[in-house]
Amino acid sequence: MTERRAITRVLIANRGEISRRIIKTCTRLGIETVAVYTDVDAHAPHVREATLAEPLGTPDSYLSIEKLIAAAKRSKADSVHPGYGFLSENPDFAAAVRDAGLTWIGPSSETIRKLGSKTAAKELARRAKAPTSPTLILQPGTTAERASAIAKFGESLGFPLILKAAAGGGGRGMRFINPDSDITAELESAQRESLKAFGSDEVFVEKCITPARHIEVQIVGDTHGSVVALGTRDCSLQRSNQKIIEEAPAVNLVPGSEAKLLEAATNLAREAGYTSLGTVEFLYGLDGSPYFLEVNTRLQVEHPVTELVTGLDLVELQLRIATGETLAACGVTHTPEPQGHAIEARWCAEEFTDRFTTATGIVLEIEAPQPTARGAMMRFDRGVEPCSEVSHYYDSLIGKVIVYAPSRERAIEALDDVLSRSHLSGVRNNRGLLLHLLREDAFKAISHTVQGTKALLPSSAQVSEVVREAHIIAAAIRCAMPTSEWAAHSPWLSTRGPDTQIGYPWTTQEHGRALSSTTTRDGSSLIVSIDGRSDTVTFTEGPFLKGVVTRATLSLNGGVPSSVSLYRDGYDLWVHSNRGTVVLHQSSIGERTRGAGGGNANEIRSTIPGKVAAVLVKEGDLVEHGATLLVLDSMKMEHPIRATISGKVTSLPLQVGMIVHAGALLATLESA
Amino acid sequence: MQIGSRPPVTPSFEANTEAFKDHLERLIKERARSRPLPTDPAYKKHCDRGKLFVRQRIEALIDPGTTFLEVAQLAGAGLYDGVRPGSGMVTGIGVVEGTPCMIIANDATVKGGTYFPMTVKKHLRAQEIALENKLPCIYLVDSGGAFLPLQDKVFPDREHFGRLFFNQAQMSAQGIPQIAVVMGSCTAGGAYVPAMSDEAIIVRNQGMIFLGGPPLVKAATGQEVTAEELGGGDVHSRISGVTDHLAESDAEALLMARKSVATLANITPKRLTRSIPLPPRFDANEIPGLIPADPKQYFPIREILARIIDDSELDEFKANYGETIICGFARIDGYTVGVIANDGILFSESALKAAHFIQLCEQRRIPLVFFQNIVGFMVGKEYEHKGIAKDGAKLVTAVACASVPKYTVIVGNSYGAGNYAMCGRAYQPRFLWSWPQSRIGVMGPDQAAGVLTQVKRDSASGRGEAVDEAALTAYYEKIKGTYQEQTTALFATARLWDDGVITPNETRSALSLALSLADLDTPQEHRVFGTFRM
Repeated sequence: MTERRAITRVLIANRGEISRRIIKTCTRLGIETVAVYTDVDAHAPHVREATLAEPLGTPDSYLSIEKLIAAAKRSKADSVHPGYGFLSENPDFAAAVRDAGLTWIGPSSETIRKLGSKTAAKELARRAKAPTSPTLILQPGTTAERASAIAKFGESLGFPLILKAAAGGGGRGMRFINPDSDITAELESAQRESLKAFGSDEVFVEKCITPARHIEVQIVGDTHGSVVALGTRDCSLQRSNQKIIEEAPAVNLVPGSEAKLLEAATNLAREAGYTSLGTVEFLYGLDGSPYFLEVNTRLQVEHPVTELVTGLDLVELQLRIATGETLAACGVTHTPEPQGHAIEARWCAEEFTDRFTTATGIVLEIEAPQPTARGAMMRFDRGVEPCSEVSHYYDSLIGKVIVYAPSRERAIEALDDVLSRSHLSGVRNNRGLLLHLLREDAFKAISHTVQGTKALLPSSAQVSEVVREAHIIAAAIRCAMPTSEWAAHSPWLSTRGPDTQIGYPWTTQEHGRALSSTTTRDGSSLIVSIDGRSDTVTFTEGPFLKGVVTRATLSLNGGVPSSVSLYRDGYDLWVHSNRGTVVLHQSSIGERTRGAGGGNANEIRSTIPGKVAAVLVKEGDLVEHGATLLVLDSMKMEHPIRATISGKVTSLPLQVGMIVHAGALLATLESA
Repeated sequence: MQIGSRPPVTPSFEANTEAFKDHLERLIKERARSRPLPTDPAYKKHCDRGKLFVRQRIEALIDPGTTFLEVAQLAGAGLYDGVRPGSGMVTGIGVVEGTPCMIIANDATVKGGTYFPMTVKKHLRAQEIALENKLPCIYLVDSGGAFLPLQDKVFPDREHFGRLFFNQAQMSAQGIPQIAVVMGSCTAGGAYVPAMSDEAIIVRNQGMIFLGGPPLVKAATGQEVTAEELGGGDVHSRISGVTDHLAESDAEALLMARKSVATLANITPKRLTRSIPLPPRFDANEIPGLIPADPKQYFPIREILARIIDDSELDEFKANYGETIICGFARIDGYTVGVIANDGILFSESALKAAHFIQLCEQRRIPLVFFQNIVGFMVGKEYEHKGIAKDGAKLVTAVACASVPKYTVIVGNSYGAGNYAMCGRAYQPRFLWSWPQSRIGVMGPDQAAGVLTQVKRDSASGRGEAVDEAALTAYYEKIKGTYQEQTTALFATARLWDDGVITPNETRSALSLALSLADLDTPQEHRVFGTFRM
């Protein structure tokens, strides 16, 4: 039993939105906070908002146990909250905090270690009689032997299989194995990624449960032996094993299965002697059978949806339990009945119009308004403010838009409403993806699955349509907009003479692709024509110009009017509509472009910024089309760079550890 | 007081409308002639090189959906072989990033954009308008410089080529920004347009600036060099520093010019305030029916004003005194102005009344708008004895010295001293436009022919010779024919005696646009009139 110790000053070993979120609860409870920051985060909002702030140094310092413990000592913190990600599930860090005489806000180091190994966790689940999927623990041996064991396992149980890092989480080190997969390559890559991310190259294989939903149970245990499940969450909408949209509670479950999930999670936590907040994740077969996946021994990214439907403050619970309070004293004695429905959307710095590659930049403006519907409310947890930099050093999560409404239908409507009117300029982002997914029938009908998400992603034709629409909106606003106070009250807009050209030509570029339109006036509407297709824009409000921002409400082709906004940053126009954000570039309009050329299949350029994780070939090597040349590590993910043609590597100017920027030349090939 | 009435249903209304239509059609034809045919080889060559046509450049430069108020569109019409009306240049005012700017753009599809005498005059007139109205100047340069065969008429004099650069320096010194966009050649003297500008933009592989082109360099020094090496965009943006910004295309260059203008917001002059505009109660399309086909016939000016001013509301000054001139306050598209319009021949009383009214407007800082339909001052013993000359002089003094912005529209005749008293070109109205049927001259064709024939007859009788009536009739017809040709609006506008021919229908918006540019910053001490001869 842990002794009862007060918490008066918490060091938050994290950054971004979660650091700010923890500060909020601490401030409410009268607890002082210590923010930590690396060189690149010196001006981040979490640093300003904490009571004290400690510099850590280089950008990777959030992963340095030594620096964090030193910072805690320097700032005389009495406790450490790890947040999520970084060292939050590192048992060595938990132990180091304890050994330094500080309170660790989370489960014990031993529990983290036990549950952190997926193989050990599976064993625990078996003891707690929680259902698990068939698993192959890889025996020591050569890569070839292990690969053939995997192949055999697949042949007997059926593909697909899934290769996971035993120490992993968050999809890192995870690989899907199909009958035609190069098992050896996947195994090596998974081991390398796992070693880099978690310090262990231990991987295991399990049968992939497909199709399935991702259902998880929020649990909490105190240091006095009580464990309570706080409810379910559905996080089935995932892309590349990263959750995109999460909700609570999980609904549309097979009758009786919810109780089964809650019971399995509670038993497992009890069996593990769990003493803090945690999440038990399950894959949920469509027949209602759950398969235990893993336990996350930390606060989850998606914890707010549970907070909104239970009224609990999960960070407060963590803090109080860490001081030795009982769950009963915290008012948590049984699983609360969820009130209403909450949905969270992860707003990330990911290109919506360019294959979801990660984006970077300086935030020029960021806003998410409250929903207009009565009974609905929105919570916006974000790590950035205007002028914040989103760099490639850290996770792409910019913020989380969480709505609460009386029912799931109302919640979807409210989130759609909020995201439609939200805007973030300066950093390309996935708002368009979020809006697209929310409007998918499968999501509305809860017939979506983890594996089915891929089919719900917008097609390139749909993305082009959104880009085209953005150009139309920008062209129409440009033609309807007085550009100064004087012009707005002068006759120059209303007395267009008979001798002036009618159609107004305009060209913008989107990711180097030029779009040209001609705008003509038709009474109170504008007709924008692109490639022979015309769209009618009718303004119902505005456009109003304030500084560099233009706002308007307009109807496209007689549809329901919706609000749009346009942020002008030099030659760039950030167009925000209810279908997402598109950046249009006004330079080199439709004609010769700067440094034209590009599209050379022999030159392999990086599409993302990142760090070279591995170089697999050298100059002079002959490579096959599709062969992996090198591996880039960006935003915590490994990105294999493959040969675009078969031939000889003529140049490869990179070494492991080098930082490359988007567009950098990675290798040159000469066709064989 | 509300003025105007429904036009009477008379055969003459129909006939007048028909007669006016001829003038309108001639105008429309001339305007069409100012643009190249799509088949024009020079135009095709220009476009094939990826260059935007001059009018497209202007469209891309100005704020979309806004008007371009063209100046001297028909300059040089019929004066030079193979030169379209406009003389190889488009000038006018457009709103760029919310700021009204004077745009002076060469049309390289007309003789390589070279300067004919009227091109020079047009360029200088545009600069004058910019100076008076404090408009930033944007030069879209694409010109081979002076048209060499006519160097004696474009180069040496005070109001010739050198004045372009004098004006640039003077305006820059007065805080009127000068921005050049080099979109084609810019040779010899022309090279000073960007060099004398506050900020210069050039298009790569297209814009070229040099004092002497490759042929001249070869002739002078034997050095062989390509145009791009000698004075291309890269050279001037990287090596010589003659230009400040390098664009990859016409469109990008124009965008850069827009960005430059966007930085001018802090030096915007204070301009007239505008009230809610009210349309006239009567239709301007009725004006042609109200103007007699015979220019010698009178027409009531109130009916014309009723179709131009707001709500047809004219607050008349001295309505019952000197009734042949109408003075009063009115609004044109929301801008308050003092209107002075002819309603007959000028008498002493009319001149005194108008001179008084001009002083009122000067004191109250209200712009003046003159509507000219005047054959002159009354003549005859009675009037000379009463001193009509000194009363006329009072009006001319008032017009000349008034420092408020002045605007003139010649709606009918503009003859003799009437032209001076009613703010003709010499009295520097900020804009002067003519209607298509209007006439301008020292006197009307009939009077001129009559006077000259009478002089000839008198001199013959003086010498005691017999008068050859047939020869005198032929002489009369010859003089009348010459005057008829030289007094038309199209003849006048080709020589830049005005800023353009506009239709009655276009008048209200033209005045409105011009008034919107008027600034009222003229300091108090400038409001001084010359001696009024009493």
